[in-house]
Amino acid sequence: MARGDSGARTGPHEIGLIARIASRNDPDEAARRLYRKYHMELFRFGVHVLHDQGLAEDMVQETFIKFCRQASNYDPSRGPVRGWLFTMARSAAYDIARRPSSRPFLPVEDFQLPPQYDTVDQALTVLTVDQALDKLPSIHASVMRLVRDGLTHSEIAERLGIPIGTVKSRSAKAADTLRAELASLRGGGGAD
Amino acid sequence: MLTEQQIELAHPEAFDFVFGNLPTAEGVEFIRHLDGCRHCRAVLDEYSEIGGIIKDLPPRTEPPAGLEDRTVAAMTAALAEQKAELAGHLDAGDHDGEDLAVTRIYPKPERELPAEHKTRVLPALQPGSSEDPEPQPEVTHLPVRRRHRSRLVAVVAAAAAIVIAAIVVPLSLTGGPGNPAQVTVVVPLHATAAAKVFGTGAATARATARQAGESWTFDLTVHGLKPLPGNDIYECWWVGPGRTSGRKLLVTGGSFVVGKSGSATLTMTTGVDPRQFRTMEITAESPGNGALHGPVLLTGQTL
Repeated sequence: MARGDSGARTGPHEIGLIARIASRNDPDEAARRLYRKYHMELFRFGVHVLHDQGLAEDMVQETFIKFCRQASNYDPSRGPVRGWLFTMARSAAYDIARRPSSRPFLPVEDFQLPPQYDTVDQALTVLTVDQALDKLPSIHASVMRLVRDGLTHSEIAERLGIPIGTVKSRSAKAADTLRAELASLRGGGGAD
Repeated sequence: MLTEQQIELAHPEAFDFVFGNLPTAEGVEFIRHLDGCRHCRAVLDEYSEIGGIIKDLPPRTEPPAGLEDRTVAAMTAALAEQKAELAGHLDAGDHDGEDLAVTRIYPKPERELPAEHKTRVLPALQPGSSEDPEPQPEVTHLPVRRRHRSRLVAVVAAAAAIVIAAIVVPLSLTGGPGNPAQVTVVVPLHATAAAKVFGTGAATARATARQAGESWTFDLTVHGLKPLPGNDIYECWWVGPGRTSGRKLLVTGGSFVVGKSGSATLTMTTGVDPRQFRTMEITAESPGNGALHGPVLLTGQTL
């Protein structure tokens, strides 16, 4: 893992889980907890780059398998575990996409390898914003859902029955919140 | 951050533009408008980056519920595999890290591993206090395993016999299907990325399926697999076209185990047509642990 990968720092609780996996001390429970923490992001990342839910499932499995086998090599001083996982996930996604069985029903020329993010940071940025959308206050979230659905601000105002100035204000505040989440990510802040 | 007044003065099209929702024709007009509107320019300066990210967010899809159990089972299996590899590696007296994927020698529970061969856990990762027990080597009783394997083979053989009987007896009673021309398809299988992680990256297999009336009989030859611990088995799957609820369409082709040679030749029967279920996958499964579909180790398509 490259030094300086962004992502929330790895907290002591999470380090304990990784240690339990590395030492095989009740690894089932530790594996399940780590899975529950990261699977959603990894799965969405997989769907995003592989364009297929089944292949994304394979990617999630292969990422966690690889993680287990390398858990004893994890060094928290080198970066957050999230960045490490996504480095593995990106590699797994690329391997999966190159398998002949991943493209059985498409002519070769129609199949595209997943878009390669310039850095893991880029993938994490996208997924951080994706997660942060879930934390928005409901009045902001409802506007952003419609923005994501492709509606213009005029259409959103009509749909929600609120003045367009309110829509602008709410989308701006939502964007400010998402930017703050990103800044937190880039600054290495955050909690376990 | 823009003030409420700046937001109020900016045109709504500026927000539509940064979030990628402004129709193309209006976009051209809006770009011209920007030259003379500092309020809209301020919106673009402030929100273009975050707007671009939101525009390109992946679809909100939820993983299936069964993925958790399958993945945790695969993680546990990988850890057990790694542990057995380490123990087998030590028993073999080969300390240079090679050939771990070929032969497993079962761990001896009473043996204390030399310090340099224990799993390395960085000091910062040591769980808990010195009261934490050292991880104990896994006890594996080879005779028990043999008994389980024999039972498993017997079950597989019995199941195959029932299937074959179900096909052959009705055919014999009805005089057969009229001797149709026999169709044969071949499925070469190669190791997946998961197989490398699993320590079977050099594995290969080949299935030759022959139509037998309404069913198909296929000979499967595998090489480079590894004996699995406990009651774990290899499972052969036919993968159909399309998906059901976003999941692969899978029909089991049978299960098997391999000995220390890592090779096996088996004959199985299936009701699916390999010309439609064109992909074959071989997974490692742990019966009874809740896993429905373990890691895919070998995969291939009909030629």
